[in-house]
Amino acid sequence: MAVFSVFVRPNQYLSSCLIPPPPPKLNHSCRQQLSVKASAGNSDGEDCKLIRKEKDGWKINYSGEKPGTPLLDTVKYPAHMKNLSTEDLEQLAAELRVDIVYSVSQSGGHLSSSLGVVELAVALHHVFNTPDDKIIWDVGHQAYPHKILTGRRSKMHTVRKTSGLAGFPKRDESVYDAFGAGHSSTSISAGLGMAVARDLLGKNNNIISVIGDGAMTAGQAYEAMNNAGYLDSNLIVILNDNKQVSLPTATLDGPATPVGALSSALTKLQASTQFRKLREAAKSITKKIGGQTHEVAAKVDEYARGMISASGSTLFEELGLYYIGPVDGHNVADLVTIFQRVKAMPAPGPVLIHIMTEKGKGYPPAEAAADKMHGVVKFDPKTGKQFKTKSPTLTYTQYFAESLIKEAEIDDKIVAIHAAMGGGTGLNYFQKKFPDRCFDVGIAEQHAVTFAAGLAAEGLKPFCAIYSSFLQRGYDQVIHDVDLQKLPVRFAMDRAGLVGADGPTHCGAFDITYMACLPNMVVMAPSDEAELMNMVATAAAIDDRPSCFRFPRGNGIGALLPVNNKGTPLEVGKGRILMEGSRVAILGYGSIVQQCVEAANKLKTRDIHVTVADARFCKPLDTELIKQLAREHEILITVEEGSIGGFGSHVSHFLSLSGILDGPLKLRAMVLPDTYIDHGAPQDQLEEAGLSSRHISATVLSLLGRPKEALQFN
Amino acid sequence: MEISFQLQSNNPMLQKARPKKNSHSSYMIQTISCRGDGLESHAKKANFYEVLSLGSENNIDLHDIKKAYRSMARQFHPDVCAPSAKEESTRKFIELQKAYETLSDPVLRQMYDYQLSLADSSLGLGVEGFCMEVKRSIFQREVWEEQLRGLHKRSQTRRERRSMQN
Repeated sequence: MAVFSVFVRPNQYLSSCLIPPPPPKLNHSCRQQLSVKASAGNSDGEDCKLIRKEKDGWKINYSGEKPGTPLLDTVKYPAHMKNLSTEDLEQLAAELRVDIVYSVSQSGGHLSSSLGVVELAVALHHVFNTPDDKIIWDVGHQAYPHKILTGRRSKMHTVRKTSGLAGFPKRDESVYDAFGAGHSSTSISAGLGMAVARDLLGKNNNIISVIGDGAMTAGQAYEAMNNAGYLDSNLIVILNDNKQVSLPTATLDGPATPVGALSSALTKLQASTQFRKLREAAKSITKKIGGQTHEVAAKVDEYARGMISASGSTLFEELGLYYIGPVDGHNVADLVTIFQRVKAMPAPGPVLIHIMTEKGKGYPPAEAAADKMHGVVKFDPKTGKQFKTKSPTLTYTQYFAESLIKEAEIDDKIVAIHAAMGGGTGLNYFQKKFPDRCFDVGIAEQHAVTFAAGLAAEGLKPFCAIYSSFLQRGYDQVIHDVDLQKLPVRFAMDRAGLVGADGPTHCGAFDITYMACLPNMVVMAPSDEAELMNMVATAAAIDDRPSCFRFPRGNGIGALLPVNNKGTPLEVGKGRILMEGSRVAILGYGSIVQQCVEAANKLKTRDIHVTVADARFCKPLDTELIKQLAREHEILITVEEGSIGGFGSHVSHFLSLSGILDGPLKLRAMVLPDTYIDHGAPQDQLEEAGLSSRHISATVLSLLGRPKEALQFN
Repeated sequence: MEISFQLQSNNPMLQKARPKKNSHSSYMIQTISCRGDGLESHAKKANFYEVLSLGSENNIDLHDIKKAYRSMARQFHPDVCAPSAKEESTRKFIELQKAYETLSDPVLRQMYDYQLSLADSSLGLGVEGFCMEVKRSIFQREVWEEQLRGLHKRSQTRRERRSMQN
């Protein structure tokens, strides 16, 4: 069967052979088809037509079942790629694209960033000898092709799921993942560290850091390049430029222009190559004319050189990195050539290779989408349509954005700042309504915080919406520029607590601890979406000191929203009691209060009635409430979705200072364990952390002396 | 480039080039300064198509450009104008010449159009479309091949330097 399928349309083939001279096009296409089929090796001729090379690139047909990937099937580790020809590598790239699209369509995850670096991953693994040579992927959400090529293809359907592959490179997961990533702009620093270690240990491998133009907006990248230029260690930095700086890569109205002046400089780099051409043309012409136009030509050349060196010796060269580019990041042959040449040089020093790619390349729905299908849930490969589950409530992020808009409608001093996360923080909605009051500073949290401090110093009311784990980057600025000077900057920390599929790199475990220890900060956390709206109003009203509030990833519980989404300011330092009971009091902080309520309902079935209170404020604590709970109950349990040193710590500190701990009260604090919780489904993570309603009720029971019953809860 | 040499050898306007500042960044394309541009045109960036009164539709062919240039040149040549307006007409005529040089050379015209799109659109949007079209001319193999040669030289000198030090 296989033999027959090789000779497609035998009549044409024969006739072209008989008629001399054969038209090259016909022969060429015949040969193309033949060669594709020859490497296919399976009898089903239809499959091979789904991935085929045409004169302007590879075309993949996504409209049916997943096409066969014969070449990719033979590649399990990078070693299997060493002997492939350039055309094989191109075919491999096409098959890799197919694999990624179909795999992510089932599992969800980051799609388009991975599609943009398929050729790069193929070229890197073909030329370099991983795992001895180290490839460090910045951020890491684009590392899916890397994972597929390094022995994890069979597990790709488990990506971002409990006990499955991580969504980002992880050193524990594979020896091919040289450095863990999740936050951006760390790859050059890590790469330089590895390069210097290699030099000190006398080794001889290559270090490659892949960083994107978005990650280049962060200061750490420049700190690293500055140091790299100074240390002059052999290091290859690949700047993957797809002109996407912020996430999502679009506002509500369409594609977002890259934020920052850097992007236009990078664009000029592209233009500069044309001027090199101009210069070459000028040189050759002056040679021909010679003589009398010599002085004029010399002047022209002088200007031209000044012009070329101004755009050629860019920022990177001045920092000490040798610049190569721009290179077409989707041309495997070019990439392979350049990498081989650079690898062969004994002492190139730090080199920056600037490649241009397109996010979502090769999958038309992603190329066309405004947000380029950056992060997706399950979708249909044929159309790119995502299967988003309908929820009765919106996400906390959306409630936050709504209430902030309502506040800003009344008060025109309110402005919002975010760090390249317009979609994730919901501020895209704010931007649509108040375009000149919303600031996207790029991936620059430190700058965002001090920028907000500057705005506050002049009387505006800035709301800084930064994820809890990303705010860690700007922590000194929070202390030194905001808290120390008591400037009224409001921090809206989204993704607080456990975050599910993104894993520990994005987990907001520490914000209660690091915010509540600051002397002037008001720290609060809503237990549901209505409370969130009221806290936005409260924060807007607090104008003499900084304040912050945290809310989790996920959807609201269906609480009754304030009228018109406009919150009312709460009394600062006052919590509330949700359920009355006796003997045991559970004091929750933040959205974990819902788990406490669930636990209390479970306990009711055992005829145990506990008091559930919502602390609302960690700083200043509602000391009256705590004293009351301590007076009226034997047992006090504090619950928070944060690390040690947070809410529970503040409560116990207060109780010990006030002498209550000298008395009969039994105090227990339930916090996140002293370990990093792996990625997975949110409910699984909560279980692993020991903070689910089951764990809370079990704690109550064992404190009441009924430990065996604790095991009976499912 | 040939045409510009002829122009400049008669023309006393060949001055020291000034780097052209623009709101985007200091890496503003300095082509114009290479042609001995005067200071005036910096103030309002002259659109070559406007200068030749060509309108803004795409795909204006060489014939139209030539026709436009000839008719305007006849109008604005310094010798034709009244003596009082001589300076101004000289300046205008030079502008016309520059516009014609750029637009009549297909390579230069392509690059000029690219510049225009960069200047007109906001930072990234306009480039997208153009990028695709001039993609092949941007990713010139020669560019990075030359860079690789430079890197190879640098690598060799560094190795020599290091072995001398040791």
